[in-house]
Amino acid sequence: MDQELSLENLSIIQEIKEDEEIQPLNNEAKLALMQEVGITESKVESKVLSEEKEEQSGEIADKTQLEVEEEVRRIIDDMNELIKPVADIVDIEPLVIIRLREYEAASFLTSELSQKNIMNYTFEIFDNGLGMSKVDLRKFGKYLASSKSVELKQTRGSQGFGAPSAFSDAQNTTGKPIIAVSKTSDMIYTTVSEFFTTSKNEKKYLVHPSEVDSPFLHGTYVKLNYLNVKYIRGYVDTYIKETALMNPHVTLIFIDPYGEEFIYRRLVSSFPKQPKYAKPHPSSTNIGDLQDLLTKSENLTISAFLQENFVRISPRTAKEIIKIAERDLQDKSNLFILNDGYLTKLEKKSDPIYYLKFEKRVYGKSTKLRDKLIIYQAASEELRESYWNLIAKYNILNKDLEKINKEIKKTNNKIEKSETRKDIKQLEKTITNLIKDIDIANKEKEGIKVKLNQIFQVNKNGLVELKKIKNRTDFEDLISEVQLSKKRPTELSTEQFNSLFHAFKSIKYMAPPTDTAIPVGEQVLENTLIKEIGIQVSENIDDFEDPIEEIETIDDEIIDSKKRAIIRENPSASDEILRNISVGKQELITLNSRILANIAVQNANIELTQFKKSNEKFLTDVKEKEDTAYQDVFDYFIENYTKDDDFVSAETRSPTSGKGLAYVVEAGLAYCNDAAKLDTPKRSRDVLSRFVNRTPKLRDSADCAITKAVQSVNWKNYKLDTYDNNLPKGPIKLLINVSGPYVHLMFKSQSKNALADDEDLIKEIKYCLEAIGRRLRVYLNRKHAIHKKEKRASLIEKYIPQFVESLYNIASKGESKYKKQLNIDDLIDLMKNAIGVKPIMSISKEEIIDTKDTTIVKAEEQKIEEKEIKIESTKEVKVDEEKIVYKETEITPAKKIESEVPVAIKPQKSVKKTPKSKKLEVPIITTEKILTTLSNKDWQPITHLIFKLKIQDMMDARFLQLKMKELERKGLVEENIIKSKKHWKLK
Amino acid sequence: MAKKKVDKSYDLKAAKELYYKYLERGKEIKDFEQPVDTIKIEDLSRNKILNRIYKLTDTIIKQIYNTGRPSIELPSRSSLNIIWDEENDLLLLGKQIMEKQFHSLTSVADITRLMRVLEVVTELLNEDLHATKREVFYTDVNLFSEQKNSDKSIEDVSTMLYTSRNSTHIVAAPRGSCVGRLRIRDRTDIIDLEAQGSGGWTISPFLDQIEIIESDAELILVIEKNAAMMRLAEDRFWRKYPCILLTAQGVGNVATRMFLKRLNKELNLPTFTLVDSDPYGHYIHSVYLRGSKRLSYESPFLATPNIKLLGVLTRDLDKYQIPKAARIRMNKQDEKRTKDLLKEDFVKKNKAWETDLQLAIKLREKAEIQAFATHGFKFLTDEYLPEKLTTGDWI
Repeated sequence: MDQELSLENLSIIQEIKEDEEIQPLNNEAKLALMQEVGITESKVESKVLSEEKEEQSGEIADKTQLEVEEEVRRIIDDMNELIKPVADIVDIEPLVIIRLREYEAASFLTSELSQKNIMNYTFEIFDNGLGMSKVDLRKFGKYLASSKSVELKQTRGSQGFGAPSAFSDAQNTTGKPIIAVSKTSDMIYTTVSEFFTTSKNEKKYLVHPSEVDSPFLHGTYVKLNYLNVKYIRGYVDTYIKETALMNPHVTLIFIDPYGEEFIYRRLVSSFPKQPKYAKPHPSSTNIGDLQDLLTKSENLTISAFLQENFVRISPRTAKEIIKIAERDLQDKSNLFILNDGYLTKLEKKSDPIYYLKFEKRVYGKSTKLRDKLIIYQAASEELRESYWNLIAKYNILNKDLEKINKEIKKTNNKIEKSETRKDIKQLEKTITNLIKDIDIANKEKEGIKVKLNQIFQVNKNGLVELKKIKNRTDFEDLISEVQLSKKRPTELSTEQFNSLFHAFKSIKYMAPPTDTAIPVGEQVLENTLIKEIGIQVSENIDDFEDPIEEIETIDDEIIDSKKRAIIRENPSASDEILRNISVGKQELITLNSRILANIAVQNANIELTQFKKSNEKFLTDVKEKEDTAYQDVFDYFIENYTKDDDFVSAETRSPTSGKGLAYVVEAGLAYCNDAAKLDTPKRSRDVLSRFVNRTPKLRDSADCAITKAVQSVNWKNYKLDTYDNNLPKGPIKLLINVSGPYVHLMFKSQSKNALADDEDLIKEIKYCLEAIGRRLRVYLNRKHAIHKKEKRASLIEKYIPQFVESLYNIASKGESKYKKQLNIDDLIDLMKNAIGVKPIMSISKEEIIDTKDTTIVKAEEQKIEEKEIKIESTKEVKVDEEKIVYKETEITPAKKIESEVPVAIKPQKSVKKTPKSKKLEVPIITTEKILTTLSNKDWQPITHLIFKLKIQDMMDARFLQLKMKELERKGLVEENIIKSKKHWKLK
Repeated sequence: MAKKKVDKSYDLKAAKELYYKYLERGKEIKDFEQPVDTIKIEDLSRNKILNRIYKLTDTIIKQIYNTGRPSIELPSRSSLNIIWDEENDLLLLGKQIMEKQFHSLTSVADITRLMRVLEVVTELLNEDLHATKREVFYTDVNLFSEQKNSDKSIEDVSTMLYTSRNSTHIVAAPRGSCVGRLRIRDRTDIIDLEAQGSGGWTISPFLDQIEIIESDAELILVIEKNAAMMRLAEDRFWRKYPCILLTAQGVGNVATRMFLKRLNKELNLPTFTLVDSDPYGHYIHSVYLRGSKRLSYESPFLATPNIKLLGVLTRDLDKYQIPKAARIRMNKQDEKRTKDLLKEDFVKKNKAWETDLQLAIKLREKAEIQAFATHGFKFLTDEYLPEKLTTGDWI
């Protein structure tokens, strides 16, 4: 275990080194280096100076230099005290240390506040994460200092509220300043600062960021003081414990106010992937978000803005959004945008019709042609009439649209009220039809606009240019109001913004990309549960799930290695040469003995004679064991190695996106047989641990979508009991984590305690749990079966002494053949040993050999030779590994066997794969063969025949059955039913 | 005698003649011949049985040494393996064999109990003692837990050894009693069954120690109920009509049936049953007639195939004018039982019996022997029985 850890550590150090190589030293470090060396660069210096000035612009408390130095030393001492126990690994192991200390509060405070015994707490946290650069540290503690309010990333915090809130709470209750110490790997010194935050969202420094020597490579230390809170067990410690469960990549140390240490060791050797920054998806964007983005935008057009700030907006969709928004605006401000100009939309017939158009004219001081807004008025009656005709049509269409909208609202209401799915489906159909109608109407409106354009293009004679008009600017404003596509994002009016937002929301978008959601991973979850709870799981069980089909025989192995050697020497070796490689007997023997030597050296101190004996045992077992079917080995394994097993399973769903949110749901479930490790919780809420982005959620569990999803699973299907609220009950621990960059939008409230109900989310969690449930059911069934078997064995065992005693009493009185050798204990032992053993078929050995090929004899000879050679080879091969890894020999497909696995099972495995035995196992069922196996004395059942003919496949057995029937018909064999089973013999 | 009612005088010799005529007509006395496909159960001497036991244990020990998994084979006593021997009108055990394996959850308890009973039997045989079933049960209450388990094992042991239960020296508790014109010897005691007071002699289960000395009875009457028996004993029925009276208080137990069989065989007397007129009564008769299913393997030792059902027949209810008040309506279970009886082969073969049962179903009425008390307490002894016997009114 230690070795493993140190290996892990090494890998981490390597990673760090790699990082260092990749990342060149930044300016700050360069500067520091240069200063140390003595080189000065004027530019850099000036920058530094300006930075210093900025720092001094804040309020400065009156403290002499000496006092400050003393304060800094005190802070560093405090920090060092916290770090000291882990000083050796502080730069290797990812660490978080949290310490809470309790003090008696100053008496004047307690008497004032209440009579209760109010305690003073110091909260200290140290982590050796990235650390903060000086610039970041200056922002640290200010509201909205987070970079995430602009860009979204799957991390814990999101808006920069947490730290400032904690800080202000701390300083407001105790009047003590906040201490923050941080260092990145680029900095040479650690930055120490002590400050108050002010209501102006500024900092009041007691100790300005000052540099001191650092005890660590990178990390952050924060110290806070609290007063009017009370530490209660069961919240903070649970929070930390659960955090550790979901973040097994760090070591978490928590020291509670009573001095008790909780150490959660790092359980995995690699960090999770860095989450990607993600653009928001339109359907998850709020009106406020959009506004924020618009005001901050530096884009020149709305189209560019949309494309740049959101995912899944292509130029085409952007254009469509703007078009819809413009349509809305045209109706609102009664101005049509036509292809060639603009036209006022009028209510009264008496009003003058204005046609506006940009034309290239020379005006003002410039002599070049420039765009100028020319205002025409429709003068001819003909034009006016056709205008009004079209407008009437347009108005009708508008009214239709209103009607359709009302209809849609009505049907939506109906949907809410209706109960049957059929009804809902029907209503939904009508809505889609109505939406189609809207599209048609909108198209018609466009058509009218095109017609209007035509009319005004054709009848240019009917237009009179108005050269002097007072409200020219009004028209210009109107045009800029309507023409959204030409506006800058920052210049939008309220009307325009509203129209844009509606258009933005009215379009269907592709689902967001899912690569931004980073799950913890099922492997990690399982390992965490195993290690944290101490669950016992057999490692090798999975290797047995599928029978190994492609076993490389030793022949193949030797041929392969030879091939490789040839190719290495002579890459252009022809196929013929490769094909003609042959394996000599001697080669086989040497390889086999080498393998055997590897297997046997489990204990370096083993005596040679003992070793020989044990190997002989293997070799004699070989012949018998090679007949046992794969299933037997499997059964044996299941029985002996998995009966005490606990269960653990985790499932990570593939990322999904619903309503513009990309997220991943994952769950892990542990079932423990040892009540000391994991008992059935008395309260239902202790079964389930909810996480969002690896952060435990302890409050409002009943309200949470996760809880609801767990309740919606029918646990009884999976053999689990439930509590009254349908949460699963048993010695289980259930973890559910929802990860994604947008999850802050999925919460019910700002407190972020519970996820809001969302159909897709609940469904997703449910599927996840059901997948685990199915595995659990298999496990519980198996456990039940094993338990039953054991119970049966014990019941049988109970009767043995009584039976034997009676038997002995009878036999000892009479004239039994066995009277002299009879011994109660012997008989009991014999019978006890027979429990659970399948009846061995009583077929004499001669018969077995008859049916075998002659090759087996050869194989036997060979084995004897191996035995001799192997003993020699053990002398040579002084294997100093404790573990035996079969991989090295490459006989078995990458299977690791723990050294605890008893010796008895090993030879079966190794020998099963010897080439000779495999060749033997091809059964050919011919009439002659059957007839030779049948005797004319004894009745034999089909099982005997299967055994004798070495049939291992069910299909072959079936074939044999058919064959026997055929022989019966032909009259070659005689049949008889003994104990309701057919027996045969030769006629 | 205060009442002088008896005008008719009945001579039981007539009954005897009629009985033998009847028997000859049916040719029912035959030498017993074991059918081919049945198992032969023998009465064996102590030594022979002990030898069989030792042979059996030897094979079991051999099994343990070979495989560690002992098992015992014995004839199956399931209803499928019970065969009705038409010729002899007996239920016999077929040749099906079942194996009780020790390493099987279903039979481990059985086989252990079997071995324990076998141990008890060996002990009894070695010391030439007898024990009742109850005593066997009390040898190991923990193991048997219920007497029905030990009873089953006792029966299993005797079939396993292909011998009758009596040969294993395990006997049923005495239940039957006997009075009448009979003198027997029990070891050294000579017992006159006429002089047993009103209770009668309790039929000893150790029948191998009983010797029948003499009897001048004309017939044997088996009575279902002790109450009816006492009525007859009180009247000293056998004084008037020389006979032997037997009762087993319900279904005949092994001792009673064996004793009856011996009486029937040795004295060669007409044998009748007097039971209630209900399906249970008819069943009791059938048990005396051809053995019970449970002890089918011992049928040759227990059954009395030439026993006749004297009464109370269903047709007697009307014939002797039993008032409605004394008749009981049949319930569903009775009807079912009657129908079940009608399905039996031995009933189908006996037409008179069949018609009587069919009549019972038709009337849906039953009556007890005591129903005759409505005609006066002496009606049974003075009129009913003599009339039936002398007129040959039996089935």
